[in-house]
Amino acid sequence: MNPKRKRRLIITLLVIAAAAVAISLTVFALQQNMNYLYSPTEVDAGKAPAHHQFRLGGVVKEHSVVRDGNSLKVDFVVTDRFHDMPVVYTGILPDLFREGQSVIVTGHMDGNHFVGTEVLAKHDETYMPREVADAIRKAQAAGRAKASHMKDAHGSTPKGGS
Amino acid sequence: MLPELGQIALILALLMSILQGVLPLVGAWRKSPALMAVGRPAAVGQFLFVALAFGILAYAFLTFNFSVEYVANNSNLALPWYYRFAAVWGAHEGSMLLWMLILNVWTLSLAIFSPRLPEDFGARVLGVLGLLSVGFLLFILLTSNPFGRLLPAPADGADLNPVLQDPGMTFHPPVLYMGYVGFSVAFAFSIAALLGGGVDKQWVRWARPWTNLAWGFLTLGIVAGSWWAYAELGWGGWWFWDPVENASFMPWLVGTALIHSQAITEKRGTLPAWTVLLSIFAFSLSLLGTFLVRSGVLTSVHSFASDPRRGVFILIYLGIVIGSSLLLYALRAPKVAGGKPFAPLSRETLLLIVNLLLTTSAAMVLLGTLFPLIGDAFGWGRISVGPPYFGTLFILLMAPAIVLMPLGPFARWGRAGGRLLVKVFVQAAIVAVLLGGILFAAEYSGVPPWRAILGGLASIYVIYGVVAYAIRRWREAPAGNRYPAEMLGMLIAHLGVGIFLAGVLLTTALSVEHDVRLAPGQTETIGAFAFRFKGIKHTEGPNWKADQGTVEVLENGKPLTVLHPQKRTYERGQVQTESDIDAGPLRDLYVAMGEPLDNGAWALRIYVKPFIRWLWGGGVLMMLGGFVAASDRRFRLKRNASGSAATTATLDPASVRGMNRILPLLGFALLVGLFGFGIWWNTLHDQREVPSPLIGKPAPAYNLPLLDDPSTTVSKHEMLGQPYLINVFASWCFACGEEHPVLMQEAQQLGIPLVGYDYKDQPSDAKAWLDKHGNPYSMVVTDQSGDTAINFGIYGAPETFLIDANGVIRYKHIGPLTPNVIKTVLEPKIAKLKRGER
Repeated sequence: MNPKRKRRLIITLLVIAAAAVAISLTVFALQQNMNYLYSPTEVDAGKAPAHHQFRLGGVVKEHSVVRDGNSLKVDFVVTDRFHDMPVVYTGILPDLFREGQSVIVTGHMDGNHFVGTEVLAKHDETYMPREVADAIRKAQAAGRAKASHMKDAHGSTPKGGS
Repeated sequence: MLPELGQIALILALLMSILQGVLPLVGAWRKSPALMAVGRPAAVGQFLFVALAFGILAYAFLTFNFSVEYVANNSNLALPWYYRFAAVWGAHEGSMLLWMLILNVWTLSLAIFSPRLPEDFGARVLGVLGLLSVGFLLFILLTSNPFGRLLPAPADGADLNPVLQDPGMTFHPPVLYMGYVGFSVAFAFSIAALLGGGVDKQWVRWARPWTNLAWGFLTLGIVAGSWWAYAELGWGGWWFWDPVENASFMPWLVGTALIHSQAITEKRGTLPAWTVLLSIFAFSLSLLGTFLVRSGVLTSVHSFASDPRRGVFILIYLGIVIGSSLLLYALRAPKVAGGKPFAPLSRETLLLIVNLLLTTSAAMVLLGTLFPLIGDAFGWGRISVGPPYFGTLFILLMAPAIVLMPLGPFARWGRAGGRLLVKVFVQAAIVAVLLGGILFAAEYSGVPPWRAILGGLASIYVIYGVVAYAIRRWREAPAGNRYPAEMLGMLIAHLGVGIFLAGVLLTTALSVEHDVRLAPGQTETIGAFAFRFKGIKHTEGPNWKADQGTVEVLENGKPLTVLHPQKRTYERGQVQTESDIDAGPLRDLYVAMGEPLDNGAWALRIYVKPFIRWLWGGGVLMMLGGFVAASDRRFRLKRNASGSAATTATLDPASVRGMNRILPLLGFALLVGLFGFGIWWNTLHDQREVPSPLIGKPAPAYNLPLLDDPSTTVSKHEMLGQPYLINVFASWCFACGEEHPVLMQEAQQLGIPLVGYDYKDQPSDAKAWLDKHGNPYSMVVTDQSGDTAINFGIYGAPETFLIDANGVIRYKHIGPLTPNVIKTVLEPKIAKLKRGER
């Protein structure tokens, strides 16, 4: 091999090695930090990871926010109008956090409730984050399918006005 | 009348831009001086017309011209004049106009300050910039006209987003755009060089000051944005790896790579193809940033108004600009010739490594930012990528660059002395460890966190390199030529990086953040600082009321200062946190109000943030470095300048091989596909027009009690025979409070019954709420359990249904009704129903 080719080979190998390291690092970091968003219905159906962090999306249920008297601990319920998920969070809630408004909570499951580490809320302009709207729509579709299924099973079909 | 003039000015500007975009390019091709000469006057004319349009919009804001829809949507009578002026770029349409104006400022400066460019080359540069203008002006005129009318004009307007009501707002967007758009100049130079083919590589020398200036502005813009997020948004953080932030950071990374590769190409004639490619990338990422922010493809905490239709237009624009320039690159790249050879150990190699690290970082940020989109595309579910992904990878990628940084100036072009580099490295490392060790031992009992150690050492290491090189130049270079502006700029910018490093890592490692509950009189202690909460009082501004806290700060028991954080409520009901900060060179004391708790207690954020000012200080130094370097005399255009090194370079067709040339184009095609998908997906899943399965179908049967008289019920059957509206509301619903005044004003003019649908609410609460705010409804039914709501597909309040005389749902609006929605959507539909059409 002439020296020029040899050098080119070495450079190529180095580049490939560097690329391999970079890609595996990236994949690893992505895996560690990917947060999926689930609605309470999906969590209820066991789709959410039991131990890994994920995001819970839905609407803060009306009259569900309870402040602890001595600390910043707050309990509330996130709902997609089909299933409810109790959430515990310690800290300051965002300005736009309101009952009846959509919210995305990052955290993990602890037994049958969700421990939030970060709460995102907004109501302006978009009214509901797309992801939350999606999740709720899915839950709705699932709920409707279930409802019609039950009606069929009972043999009575009082179809809503149509 | 004036707003229409504004629109006409934009149309005239479009004509000018077409002249500027087409004629000089044709002239350069046909070698016609007359055609080439059109460029400059056309550029001046275009600037004047765009500036006129901008001025007219600003005037409309200052004179409360609410008949202009954009003005009505973003300002009101109570807004102070300086925020009304800043409101010009407070939302989409105006910020695009600002983008355009700034593109014109750059073009104009180029036309004025570069009169000595070779005629054909200058014509091509102006032509390319003109073509960019054509696309952007078309975009503004077709999808984002800021001069649209709202007639009859409302008496008062809405409000500027309170987050934007901050001095930072007047400053941050224009500066950021100066940077973003400034890369268009480097882009235009590259494209002109590719088009010209045979042009010598002097073009890089001409392009360099412009690139440095743009980079300086972008740096300042990002720094200002970071400071604004810290001071204004009340989160106490300075960087969140949010899509919108990433959108500005990616061009910065590539821009940083570009200014370094331009140095190589200009001085040595090496890597011209790479420099061209980076110029294209830097501007492409600027456009991409605009696309990401403006199209709503990604959800962001910043989330400005977005519109998928605009997304399609920007995508097409992006496709044409980037696609055609990469195609041109694929066809012409080898014609931009090779350069001087360099040894494996040389300044070229070091710069090349840093270049690769920077571009890889940009790619990594791009991947993380777009990952939610990729997840959608492949059906992996709804994914977001957490900040640690960016943080970890970024530190890993930048660490080698930091290690190389002090060595760069010491490495010679062509072939560097290995021993010298090792010596510098060892010296810098020893100084860093010794000095760092002494400082930490003096200031810190125990072992500091690893990030703090890393930050301190890296900072000293980098600064030592800068100082050592400055001393060496002082000793060795002849007086008067010790620090040419270009080198001085480099040294200042590198010094800035050193200071920035200390700021970032020390503040990350040493910040103490307490979110606490404090009753009046209670104290929270962080280190030597005691924060005593003394309670709140009410205060007022021009268009807001606030709860203002008083927090007394003691240092080692002695009074230090009193902080007054605020929780503001703006006229339109938006809540905004205003932090109060005691700034200092070594630490910031930061207090922000959380929320009121019972018994006068408040949730407070109390932070002590050491060295946080350093990161912005470092950023400002970097910017300064960019400006100083740009002022170098060598860049002034004299055709006889000592450019022999660059001009004599030989043609090296092997420098860019076939596949390598097409690769960028392929990658870009992939991206376009992904974005196209993103827009399609968004349109499909647009939450504002939920494709309710019920539209066009009969409304579900209902039989609901009246709020005033629960013993009487109203059913769907009783309502047949006339069109009517059902408005879902609740006393607990925040957005309903925003919607309510609109209903109060408009309900009478609708001409059809407006049925209130009290959703999951206590009747007593609802009654009290209606008593307080007024009752716009013809009747109010209640659905306490929410069972009927499920049949209607209601998932929140407010929602509004339009039902025709046959009981069929014709339209559904989710979220608060605005005067605009009522005027443009609801009223036409009602009119149709009344005429008996569908």
